[in-house]
Amino acid sequence: MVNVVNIPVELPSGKILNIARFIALIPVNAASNTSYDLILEGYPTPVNLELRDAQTLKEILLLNKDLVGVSQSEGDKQKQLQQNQRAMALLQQRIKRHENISEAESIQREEIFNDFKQIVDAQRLPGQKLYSE
Amino acid sequence: MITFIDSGILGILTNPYKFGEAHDCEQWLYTLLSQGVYVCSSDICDFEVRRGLILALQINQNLMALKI
Repeated sequence: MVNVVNIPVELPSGKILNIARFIALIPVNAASNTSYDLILEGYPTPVNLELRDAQTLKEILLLNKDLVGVSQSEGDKQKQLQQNQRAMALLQQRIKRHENISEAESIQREEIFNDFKQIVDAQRLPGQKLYSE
Repeated sequence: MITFIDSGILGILTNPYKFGEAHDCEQWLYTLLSQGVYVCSSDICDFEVRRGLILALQINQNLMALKI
């Protein structure tokens, strides 16, 4: 088993982070892609990254993709991959189905989603909204 | 690696439409699964999202036929 605790990288802004704990890099605004939320394993809140940092991080992750997540042994990973096969097959079917829906249905789904977001946030306390803050 | 999906992401995944973050989110989940990541959520997230969906569909009763 390979155990790597830290893979520190420095970003152009001077931020230094451990990409061994990388989980996700999500655009804050999908339309503009000007800043990103970086989610790290074990860190309670996302780290906001400016575009320049995010692009550098993407390049680093592509170069070091074999290093990210190496704290999981190869055997564990393969075992989990086997267990994920059923979920992957279902998700693939679902993705295909959603790619083939009509534009009208897609718009209707968006309307439901907007209502859903309002309903969920209405039940949450200020400061704990999921979609509107 | 373990990835815990909270109500916010779970809501996006259960409300997919063709474009934008919902589509990206499905692709992201597929990538995680294909990399051998253990993906999980909780009963309370399931409850929150399920309740939101039921109420949203009640508001849009004419769209009840849609298979989410």
